Amino acid sequence: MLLEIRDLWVHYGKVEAVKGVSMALEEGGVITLIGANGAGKSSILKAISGLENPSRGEVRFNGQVITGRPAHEIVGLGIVNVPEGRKLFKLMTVKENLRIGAYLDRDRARIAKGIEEVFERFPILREKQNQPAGKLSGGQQQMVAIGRALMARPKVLLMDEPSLGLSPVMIDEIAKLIRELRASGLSIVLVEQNASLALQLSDHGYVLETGAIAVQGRSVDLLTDPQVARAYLGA
Amino acid sequence: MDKTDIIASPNRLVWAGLLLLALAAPFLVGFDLYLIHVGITISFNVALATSLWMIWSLGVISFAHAGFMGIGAYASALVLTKLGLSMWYGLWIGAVISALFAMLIAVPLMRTRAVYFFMASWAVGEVIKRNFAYFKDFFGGWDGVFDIKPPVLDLGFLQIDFADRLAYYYLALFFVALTVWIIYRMNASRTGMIWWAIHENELLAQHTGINVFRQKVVCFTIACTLVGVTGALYAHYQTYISPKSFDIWKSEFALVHLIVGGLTTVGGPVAGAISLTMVDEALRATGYFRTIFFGVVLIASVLLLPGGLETIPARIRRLFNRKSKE
Repeated sequence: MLLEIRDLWVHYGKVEAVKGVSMALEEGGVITLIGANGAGKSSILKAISGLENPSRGEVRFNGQVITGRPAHEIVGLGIVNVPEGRKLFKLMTVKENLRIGAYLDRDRARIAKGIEEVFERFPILREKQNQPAGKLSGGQQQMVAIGRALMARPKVLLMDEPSLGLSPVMIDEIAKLIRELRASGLSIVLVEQNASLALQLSDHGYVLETGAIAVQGRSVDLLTDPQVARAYLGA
Repeated sequence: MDKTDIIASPNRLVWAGLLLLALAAPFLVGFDLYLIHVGITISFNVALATSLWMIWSLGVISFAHAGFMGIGAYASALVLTKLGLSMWYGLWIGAVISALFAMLIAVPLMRTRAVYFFMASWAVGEVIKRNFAYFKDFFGGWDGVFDIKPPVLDLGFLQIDFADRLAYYYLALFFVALTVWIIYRMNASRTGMIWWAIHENELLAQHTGINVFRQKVVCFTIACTLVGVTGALYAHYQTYISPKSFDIWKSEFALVHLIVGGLTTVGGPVAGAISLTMVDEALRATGYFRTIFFGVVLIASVLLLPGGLETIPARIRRLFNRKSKE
């Protein structure tokens, strides 16, 4: 297993945000966490990326326990976050945003190559490379946010609500991109409110309810599961 | 405030012009001793405000800043009065002690955020001042330290006694120019970009693998070291220091210099400190009412010139653009 979560608990004061969640991500796989607002999806991502200290349980990466390690070290291991809401350094240019994504990389040639790869993936960003990222459209900002994460050459990409607030056309683009990233060998943890989209893109799904896993299984099965369909797919 | 707008402007000429003006200033004022004193005060205030601005590039304002100036000042003063070593030693010893204290204090201080940081740094500044007052035998209590002689530079063929005010003016100018240059270069470097990234979005900065905490400690330490050197220069110029020389008000005036000057470029604190020190000196005759006038100037500048003095070039450019379009 590339990434393994065992009996994870996260508390905010007395509030239990995550209650004993276990999950696993295989190399090259895509898993998804779906559930309503406040179900604990983001808390799990925070615990994986080292921004929140779990009160119990452990996160393993390549068999090695990474729980409790600081966020910047976890990025260094290759677990990179695309935070919710297209978070960017809005005052910096597109190119600066990409460059800072490769913060831990000291190899200039590789950074330049990485920027070139992002531009090939998103040609529009090449045109806008010297503009402040905050002036781009929502979809373009999401491209920068994903590009920035790719600059760190991740092994696991944690994507928090990548489709949130985007137009249907843009959502299709993002879906296509996630399929491409997966084809290139990247492993992805996808957190989504758009459950049908997330299940179409993933191998395995975990349905969270108030901090615990209510249902889990192969995504194809979940898509046809009547219980999941009623609660999350609006069927 | 659009940051790129200002960065794109050709400001090297402005810097060069400012430096030339500062070099020529004593000649221009006919070697008037009082005006040279104002010039030296301006230098100290520029260094204080600019190094405070460097901490601001992380997104916080430290009210302990004058306190660290005090640490440099007391260190250098005591090295002279107790050990008999001149300012040439005191300067570096002051810098090292400021740096060590800053690094130590930054460890708990930089774990606080926003308004909690302001309060905590306020407390640190106050504690530094109180310590100078409390340990009477060592620091001289509220009476302070006297007789802090300015240094003499002996080059063999040439001796410069910095008790001479004109000589001290150029000494102060040299160190202030150096301070501003260091901060300017750091800000323009990759490290500076990272500090602004932390300023803008600390969480996202962590997501890119930046060790935010370490960066904060490093930035705070460098800024406090620079202001420690400024403090040493201040002590040997005034020849007398007391805890009151380094209280919260000094940090607050530096903050006002920042706000009036502008917060997004190095030019901001420099312009703010120069202009407001002049205003302050011009108001000296009004005595007690000085602070009130100062307050009015602050409010007026915020209302009439949001973004501060640093936005003036961009405003002028915009004015010209509008005219050329008509």
